[in-house]
Amino acid sequence: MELMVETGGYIYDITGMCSKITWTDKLNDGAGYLEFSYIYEGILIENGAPVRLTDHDQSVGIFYGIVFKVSMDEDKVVKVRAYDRLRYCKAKDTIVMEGDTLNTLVTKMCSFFQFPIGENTGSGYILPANVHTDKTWLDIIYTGISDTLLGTEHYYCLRDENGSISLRDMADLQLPLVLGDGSLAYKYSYSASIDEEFYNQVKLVSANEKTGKADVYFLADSDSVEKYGLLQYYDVLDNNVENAKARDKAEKLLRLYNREAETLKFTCIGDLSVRAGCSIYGSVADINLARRLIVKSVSHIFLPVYTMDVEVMA
Amino acid sequence: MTDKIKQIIENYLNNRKLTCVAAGTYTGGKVVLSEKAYIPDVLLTGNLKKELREGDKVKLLRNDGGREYYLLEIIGVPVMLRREEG
Repeated sequence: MELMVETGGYIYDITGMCSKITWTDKLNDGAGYLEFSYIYEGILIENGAPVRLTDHDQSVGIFYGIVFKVSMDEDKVVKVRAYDRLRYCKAKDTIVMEGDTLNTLVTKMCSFFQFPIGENTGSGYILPANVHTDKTWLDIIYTGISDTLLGTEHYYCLRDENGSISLRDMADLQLPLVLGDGSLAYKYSYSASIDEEFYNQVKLVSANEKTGKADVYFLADSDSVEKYGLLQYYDVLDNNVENAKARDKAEKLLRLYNREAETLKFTCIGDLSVRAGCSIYGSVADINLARRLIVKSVSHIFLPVYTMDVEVMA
Repeated sequence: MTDKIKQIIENYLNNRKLTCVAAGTYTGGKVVLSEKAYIPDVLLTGNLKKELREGDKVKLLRNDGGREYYLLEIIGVPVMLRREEG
């Protein structure tokens, strides 16, 4: 692995000077970032400097970003944080959505920021018309990802892949990798919760202008209600939503929310193929876990020995 | 810390799109609010919609959530209310 930085008109290979290099990547939660520390020996990196992390022979790019924060103390340890290109997509703008899909939104965003587009896989699902003012590009695309998930049951992730912006269907990101007590991991912690975003009854309301009354739609999983108690999801839909459409939405919401949120954290031997949005096969005997899990966040800790902290969700 | 909280609340409210009054010009198929912002026809509601003509200045009421813009008024155009007698 090599860390190159361009500052003051020169390109430096600072790999050997670093005491810490950590790359953190989160699923649809802002920009990924690289944090590194080195002892000051005349090179003080400036904000705005491009940073590139590559594999040993520089043929495989791992991370490309821009320095946003530099700090130093009396110990002469310089701490640097560089974000990938999605950091710039926190810019707010006015965006009118009309007949747009996730793909067209990503294309528009990359065109606005003049970023290269990598993979732009899409479902063709037309997002609801909307007028966004004073809203960040990232928030608009994340809302589009949620709407597409409800509309198609396909979950997409937006990420920077070594300098190119990609939108990928997470169903295509299955890694042939087992993480667990018998494979790569040397620590784990597990939690299962119905405390947040768990619902076993859905209630949707839509005003009906013809009848002058609101139409109310209920859908419940009686087994789940009996087991956990009644936990109701409530939402107000647009006016005059058709019966079939409301029922379809209720079914999808119930499928999405009527399950325990399981979170599992592994500390394990590093593997560069693991990024947020990928899925790995989780295997932990103590909790009878043996199934595919989605990576919610990952921190690749390259020094002193390459390890990673991985948080997955069921 | 206080600034951060204010920023979070401001972002939440922007995201929520509370009810507000907006003004614009109907250009056929949409109401233009500014250089970049316009309201597509599909989001316009209200019985004044069928009275719209290109060039009309209008006042709109954005519904909570921002998925509906109700036509409040065509500015400067008196609209007569009619009710068919059965």
